[in-house]
Amino acid sequence: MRITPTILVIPTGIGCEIGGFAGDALPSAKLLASASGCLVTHPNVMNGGSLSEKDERIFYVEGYSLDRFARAEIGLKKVNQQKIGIIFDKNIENEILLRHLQVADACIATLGVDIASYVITDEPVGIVISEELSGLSSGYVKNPDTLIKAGKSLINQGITAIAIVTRFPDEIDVENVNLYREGNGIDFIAGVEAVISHFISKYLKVPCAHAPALAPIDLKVNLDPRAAAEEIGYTFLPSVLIGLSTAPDLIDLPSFNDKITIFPNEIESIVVPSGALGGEAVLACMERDLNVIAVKNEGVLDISSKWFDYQKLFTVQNFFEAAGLLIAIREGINHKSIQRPLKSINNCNLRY
Amino acid sequence: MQSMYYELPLPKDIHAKDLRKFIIGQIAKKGEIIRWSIYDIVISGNKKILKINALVLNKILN
Repeated sequence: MRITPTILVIPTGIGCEIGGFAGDALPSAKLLASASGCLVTHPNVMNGGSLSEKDERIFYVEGYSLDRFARAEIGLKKVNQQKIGIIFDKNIENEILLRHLQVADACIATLGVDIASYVITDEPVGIVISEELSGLSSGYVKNPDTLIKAGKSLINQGITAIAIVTRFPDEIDVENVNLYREGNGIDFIAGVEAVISHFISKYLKVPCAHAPALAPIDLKVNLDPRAAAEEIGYTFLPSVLIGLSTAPDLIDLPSFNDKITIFPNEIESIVVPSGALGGEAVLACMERDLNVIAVKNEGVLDISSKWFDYQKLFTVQNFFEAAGLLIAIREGINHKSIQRPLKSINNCNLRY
Repeated sequence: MQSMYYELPLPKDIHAKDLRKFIIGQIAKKGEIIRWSIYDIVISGNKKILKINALVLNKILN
C-alpha cells in the first residue's frame, strides 16, 4: 500500500478549536493516519487524560524530538514495547501519589504495559505558570536539575521511556479554568507541560511525556465535551503511559542502525493549524521544501499564510479536506485536477 | 530556566526557507534553547517585526 508519511502538529496551549483541549484532536489524527498511512504526531494531540488509543500508523513523539525529526536530526524506530519509568515531583502529596501509582498498576494489569519503576525527585520541581503573554499558556520550572537527576537514575536502571508527573500549584486562576472547562479558553497549564517534556527530551534523548498532578476539582455541569476526558479519572497519567508504551525509539542521525522505521527524508507533508505557522517544526519543513498543509483551526495565534511566501503552502478548511489532500499526494493525483477553475498550462519560453 | 522575549526585524530579502536558521542564529546567543515559537508578527514602518518567545537554560547541565 502506498503511504505519504506526514507530521501533524497542533501546538500546546494556544487554544485551538480542535486539539486545544483533552486529546480532542485524536479522531482527526486517526483520520490523517488513515489518509497518509503514516503519521508522526505529539502527546498534545493524542493524550486525553484518562483516554487514549494506539494506532499502528501513528508515531507518538514528544514535541522537542518531533522538532528534531522535522530538522532531519533523528530517525524513528518502531518498538514492540517501551520499558517505562515514572518521575514524580517531590511536591506531590501521598494521596495523589498513591492515585498515580494505582494508575501505573492498572496499566500493567489491564493493558499489559511495561512500567518498571518510579523515582521521586530529591527536590520539588517548582512549577511556575507564566501570565506574561496574555492569552497564551507558558511558564518554566525553578529546579530543572532535579528532573535530570531523577531521569538519569531511571535510565541507569534500563528504562527506555519516561513519564513525568509534576505537582501544579493550587493557586490557579479559577476564571480561566472555568472558561477552559466550558470550551472557551486555553489550557493554561499546557505551556509549562511542554517545557518540562521538551527539557527531558533535550537532555535525556528518550521518549517522554508529561502529566500534571492536580488537586481534585468540583463537578461541573456545563462541561464542554472536548474537556471531558480530563474529568473522568483522578489523574491524567493513563494516556501518557498508553502513548509511551509503543512510542518509537529516537535514533540520532547519521546512524548505521538499519532498523530505523522512518527517516525524516521520507516525510512529504506537515499538517498544522493555519494560525500556527511560526513553530520550529513548520519552519524546518519549509526549509526542507515539504508540503505545509494549514488547516483552519481557530486559536489565539495569527501566524498565518499571509506572512509567508512559500509555494508549497496549502490552506484547507478542515481536517476532512486535509485528509483528501493527503490522499491525493499519496496516490499521485495532481490536486489542481480536482479543483475548479482549471487553468491551461503555461508556455515556458525557451531560455539558454 | 528563563522565559525570554525577542523582537526581530525581518530582513527584506529573507525567504521562508531561511527563516528558522535566521531566528535560531539570533536567539541561541542567550543560552540553550528549550522551546521557542513566533507568537506575533507586526508591521512597524516598512519593517516586519517577528515577536518570539523562547525558553532558555542559562547554564549547561551535565
